[in-house]
Amino acid sequence: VVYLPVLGAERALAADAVGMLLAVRAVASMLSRFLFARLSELMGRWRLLVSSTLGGAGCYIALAVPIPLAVMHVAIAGAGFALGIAVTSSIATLLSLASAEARGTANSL
Amino acid sequence: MNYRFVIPLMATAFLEQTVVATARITTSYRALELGLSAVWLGAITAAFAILPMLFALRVGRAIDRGNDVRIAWLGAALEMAACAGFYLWDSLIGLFVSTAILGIGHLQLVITQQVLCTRRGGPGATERMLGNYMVANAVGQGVGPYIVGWLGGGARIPPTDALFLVCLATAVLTFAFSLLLRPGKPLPARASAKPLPVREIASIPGIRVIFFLSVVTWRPRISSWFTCRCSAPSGR
Repeated sequence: VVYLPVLGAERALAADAVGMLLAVRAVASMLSRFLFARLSELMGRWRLLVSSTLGGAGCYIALAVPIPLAVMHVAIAGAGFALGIAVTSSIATLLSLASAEARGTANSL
Repeated sequence: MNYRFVIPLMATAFLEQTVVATARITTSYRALELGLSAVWLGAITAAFAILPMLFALRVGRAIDRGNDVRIAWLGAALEMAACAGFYLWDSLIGLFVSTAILGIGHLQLVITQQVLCTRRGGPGATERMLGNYMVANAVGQGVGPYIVGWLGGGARIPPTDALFLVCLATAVLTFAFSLLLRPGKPLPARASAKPLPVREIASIPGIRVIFFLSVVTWRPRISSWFTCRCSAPSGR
C-alpha cells in the first residue's frame, strides 16, 4: 500500500489509476473477510494461514514484475484478498493456540 | 447469534477505527499547520505505537483476569480524552501527548475486542465473529480517509479543527456503544492463581510462527495511513 503510489509514479500511472488499484485492494480485502469463516472451515486454520500468506507474497512478486495495468488489477486484488485472510487468520490461530485464560496476554504479545 | 453483544462490538470496532484513521491523518495535517519538522512528525507518529507497547502486557494480563469489557470501556474513554486533547490543545506537546493517549486507548480496544470475539462467539462461531469484526475494522479504516477528503475538498490542508471535532464526536459515540458491552460470566477458576508466564506462552507450539506472520502480514496495514497522507495533497 505504501509503495504502490511510488510504483505508479515509476510506471507513469495516473493518480486515479493508483487510487483505483488501492480501491480494488480494499474491496478484495473486505470481501475475503466475509468469506474467512467458510474458508477456514474448508481448509483448516494452518493451511489457510500458510497458503494465504504465500499467495499474498506471490501477488506482490507479480506486482514487482513489469506487467500491464489490467494484470496489475488482478494481482492487487489477489494480494488484498490473500492478506485480508492472512491477517484475520493469524489472529484466529493465535487465539486458538492460547488457553482461554492466557488469550489476552498472548494477544498483547 | 447474540445480537445484544455482537452489534455493540461491531459498532465499537467500526467507530473506533474511524476515529483512529481520521485522527492520525489529521494529525499529519495539523503538524504541517504548526510548521513542525519531519523529525517531530516522526516522533509523534512513533508515540502512537511505541508508548502503548510498554502497556501491552499489562493490558493483556488485565483481560485475562476477567476485566475484558472494562478494558474496552477504558480504551474508549482514553480515545475520547485523546480527541478532546487534539481539539483543545493546539501545540506540538498537545499533539504528542494526545497521540500517545490515542495509541494506548486503541491498543486496549483492539486487544479486548479480538479476545471478546473468541470468548463470546460461542463454540465454532469464533471464525465468523473475527471475520465480521475485521470487516467492521476495514470499513472504519476506509471511512476515516473519506471524511478527511470530504471535509477537505480541494484544499491543500483540510480544516483540522473541524476534523478533530468529528473525531471527538465519533469517539463519544464509540464510548457510548462500548458501554453497551456488558461483562460476561467469569472465566472458570484456574488451578493456580498465578498468571501463565510469558515464556510459557511463547513456547506454545506454533505461537512463534504466528508472531512472525503477524509482523509480516500486519505491516502493510499499519503503514497504510502514510499513503493517505502522501497521496491526499496530490489527489482531487
